[in-house]
Amino acid sequence: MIGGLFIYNHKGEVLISRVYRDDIGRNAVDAFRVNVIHARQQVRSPVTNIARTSFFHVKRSNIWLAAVTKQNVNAAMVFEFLYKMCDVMAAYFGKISEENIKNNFVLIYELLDEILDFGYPQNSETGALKTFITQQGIKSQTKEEQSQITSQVTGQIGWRREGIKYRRNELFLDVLESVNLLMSPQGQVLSAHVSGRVVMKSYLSGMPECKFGMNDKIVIEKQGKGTADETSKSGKQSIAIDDCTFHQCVRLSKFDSERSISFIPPDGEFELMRYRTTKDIILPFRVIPLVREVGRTKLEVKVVIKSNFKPSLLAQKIEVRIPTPLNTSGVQVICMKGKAKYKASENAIVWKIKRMAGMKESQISAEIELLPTNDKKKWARPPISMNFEVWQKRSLDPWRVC
Amino acid sequence: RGRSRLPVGSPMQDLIPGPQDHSLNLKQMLESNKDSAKLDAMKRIVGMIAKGKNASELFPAVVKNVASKNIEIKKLVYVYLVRYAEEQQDLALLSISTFQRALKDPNQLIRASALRVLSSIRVPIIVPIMMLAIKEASADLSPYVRKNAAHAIQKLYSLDPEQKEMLIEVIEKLLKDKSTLVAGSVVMAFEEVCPDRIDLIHKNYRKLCNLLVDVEEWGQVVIIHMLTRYARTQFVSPWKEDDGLEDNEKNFYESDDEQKEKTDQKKKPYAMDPDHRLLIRNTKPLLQSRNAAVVMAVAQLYWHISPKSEVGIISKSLVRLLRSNREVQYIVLQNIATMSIQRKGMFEPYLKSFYVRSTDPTMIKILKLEILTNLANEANISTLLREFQTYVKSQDKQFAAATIQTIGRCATNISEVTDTCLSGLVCLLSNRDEIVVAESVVVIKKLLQMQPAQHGEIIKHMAKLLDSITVPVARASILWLIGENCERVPKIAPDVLRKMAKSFTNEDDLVKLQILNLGAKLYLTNSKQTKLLTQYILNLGKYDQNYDIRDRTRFIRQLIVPNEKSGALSKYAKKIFLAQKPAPLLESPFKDRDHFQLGTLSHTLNTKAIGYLELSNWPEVAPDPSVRNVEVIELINQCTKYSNTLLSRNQKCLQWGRLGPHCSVVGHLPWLRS
Repeated sequence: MIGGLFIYNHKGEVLISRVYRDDIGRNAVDAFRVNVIHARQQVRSPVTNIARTSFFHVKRSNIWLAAVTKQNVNAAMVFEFLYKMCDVMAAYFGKISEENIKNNFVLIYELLDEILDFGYPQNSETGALKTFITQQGIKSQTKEEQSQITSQVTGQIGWRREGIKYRRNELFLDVLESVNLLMSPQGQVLSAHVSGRVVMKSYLSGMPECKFGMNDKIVIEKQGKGTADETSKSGKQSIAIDDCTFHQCVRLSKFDSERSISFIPPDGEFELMRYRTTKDIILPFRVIPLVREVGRTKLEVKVVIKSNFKPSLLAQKIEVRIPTPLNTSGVQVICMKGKAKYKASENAIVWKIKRMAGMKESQISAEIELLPTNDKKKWARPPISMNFEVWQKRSLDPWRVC
Repeated sequence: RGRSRLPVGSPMQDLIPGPQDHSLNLKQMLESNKDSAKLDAMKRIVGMIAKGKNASELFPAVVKNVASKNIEIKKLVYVYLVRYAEEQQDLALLSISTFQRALKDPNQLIRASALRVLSSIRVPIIVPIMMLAIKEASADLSPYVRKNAAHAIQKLYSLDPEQKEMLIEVIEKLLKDKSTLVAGSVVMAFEEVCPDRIDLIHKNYRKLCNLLVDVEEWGQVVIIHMLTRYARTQFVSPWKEDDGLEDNEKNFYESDDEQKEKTDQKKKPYAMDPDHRLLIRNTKPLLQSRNAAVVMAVAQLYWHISPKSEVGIISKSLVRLLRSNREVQYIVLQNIATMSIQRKGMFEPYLKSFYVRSTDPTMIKILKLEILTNLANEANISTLLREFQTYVKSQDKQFAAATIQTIGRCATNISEVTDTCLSGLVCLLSNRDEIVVAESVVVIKKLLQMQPAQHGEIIKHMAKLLDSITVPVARASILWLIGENCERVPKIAPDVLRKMAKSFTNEDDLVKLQILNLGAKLYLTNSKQTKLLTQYILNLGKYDQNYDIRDRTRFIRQLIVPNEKSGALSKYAKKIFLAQKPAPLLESPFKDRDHFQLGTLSHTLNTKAIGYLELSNWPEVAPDPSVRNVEVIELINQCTKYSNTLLSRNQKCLQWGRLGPHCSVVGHLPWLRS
């Protein structure tokens, strides 16, 4: 299993080193620095094997996290663990940066001790961890508190402790969807899917058993069987969900047999499920970019967005991000609607529109002045990204919570 | 007085960052009466450890605090102990009695963490104490303590492998445990200590299958891997019959015919063992897990043990993992690449999911290309080629080059499109980008080699390129191609040689070797025009700086230029040089990876990692399935045993008395008294 875990800054200085197993020598720390961090080439593979020792590495902003092993592990598990580890750290002290890591040495060391035992990943639910690994200095715990911790850590339900009480029982639910789209340079849609997340904030007392139902508009495809017939039977309105994943609190066996999502929620915010649909996706917006290079020092960019949904709906907080070349020296922007600004630090023009109704069109044009460079490499034209919110009044439809 | 006993001459001492009084200061803080000062000192010390600095000289001062009432301090002392106990074994013994006391604490959390730290202290003397503690804990009433006992097993085993037999007994006991908390941990211990004792699993097999859904995610991964191995030794192959089925459904096996014959030979109806079915059925819901590792583990289980007709259901889940972070994507794509070679059908419906995005890192792009190539067939090749056209234009040159290689592979695999691909590649020869041109040249060379048909035009075109292209591999490829086909382009070849003779000294070594080659071939076929030229080149080669080239020159001269010393071989020079050469096989680099269990590190690296456990072949005849039967009588036995353990717990507590002497050690050391 995992033999050791190292954290480096971008220069390759060791911030944290924790070795769990004998087969990992203390020189492994340096081997990774020399061969990967200092190699300065593009990372070819996230698993680097140096002298029969494998380094699984992940880079978060400027920080390298490397898990070392000599044994035959499940490769996906190590990465999954590293990302969990990042999540846990982020939950404790926010952004993962050199500064934050240096300020939280002791905490990280304690965490590492807890979530990896002899190299085996352990319970890494932040909710549970936070009850007994705390940042506040000396905190004398009452007997009652201690027994609460015990029951959570040692219990079968690692994500919730007993005896939670709220004066008002509340449950919030957000459905966040993002549309992923792959388009050919000719503007033809190659593939599109919607991936959604159901995020819950639960403030419920005791050990509530929740059930999350779906109305008949939603068809979750039974694996191995086609949905074609079902979809056609239930009429046009149906939304076919291709596949979904659940938080570990959801009883998977029940879902498999009864198609119902039942669970005991963790306290606070968590992601209940993720799902994906690929069928009948109507793209809410079309973005049409036009880029013209005028000589070597000037670019003309024109972007048109068209909203493609019902006129009765309203899209809000639209933000379009148009990347600019690295050698941009100045930008002039004219837009019909909203506000646009060139942000040099992000290398992008950010165009914000407060709201926009369906079946409308808006346009921005920009002149970008470039500094002449010797760099022969052409600008790669990274994709334009766009964010927006559409609020629907019937927000719980098509989901129903009981 | 006590301080003088410190190991002053320790070699690491000069590495300590602060001046000497810095650590003195820490020591004073540790000896103070206030918990806050102690805690502060401990935090600084752990900070030093985390940075990899040596804090070993503080050991005596730290160890005294192990009995501290303050949990925060205690935790940090534990961290310190685990790191340094091995280096200062004698002093570490001082702490043992504290742990022994903690092992009897009424709070299960404290019992468990005491066991955890005790087993992490790598001091050989305490092996018997550890052994006893593990045995004790494995019968604890709290599943959490039992879980920690399972972890301790592996630690003790790595400290002293001679304890194996005793530890196996404990594993056997814990395997019978019904708690989901314990299941994952004990299987981990099993995998590490005695993976070959498959007989221990029999009785627990059904229970493990049933518990699986409720085990925590990391434990699920380990259990699934173990059960995959188990299934391969205990059940007969479900594959043969299904292959017959799939033949009707138009499958993509290379060895269809062979397999059909096999089915004919063995017409015995196959009935799947209900236990085999149980495993397959109970792992299915886990495909919905949020943890990529679990999904990957289930996918490999299906791949390795389920009937071929059922493997299909994993593809959707795997494709879903392509939306997670790039490292997981990398692992998943590698596995899909291996699977897609054997079973194209599984991933064909998801072809578009493997389309490359401009934001993908290069490593992901290249793996996706690999999969697209594996999935290419007559039906989808035209769409794919259109997609490839876009890729060739990519700014990422490494990726563009890989795409061209891919086009070459598609061209050889699918004969319908060979000509289209070839003409497409020829068009690329006039591309502005040199790397693209060079790669196309290399691929065209391979393609032409495979089809020795008349392609004079292309060769002429390429000969023209020699004037402009500078990438050595491409130049070498063109020269080789002209040499090989010199009789098809009788007018051009000598002229190319003439130009090359002029630039010989400035060429790359790789190109020089090919010039020599071309010279030799022309000398043999068209000596009238090229004799002088070749001799000139051979002379240049003779005095080249590179010994490879000098060596080759000497060899070629002896072989082709007839003189009195030349051996018997020179008669056959023409046959040697212009022999029919086998075409290179353009194969997937993932072709030979399928013998590794999917999802493992060994598969990713394509070499055996330490501790890789081979998946055995299906047995011809299934071993006795009744070994998995759990008899009711035994259940009753277990119940009585359990109540017995409760009774004996009290007795065992008495045994702790025997370990007492270590407690008294504390009193004997003078510096602890002060």
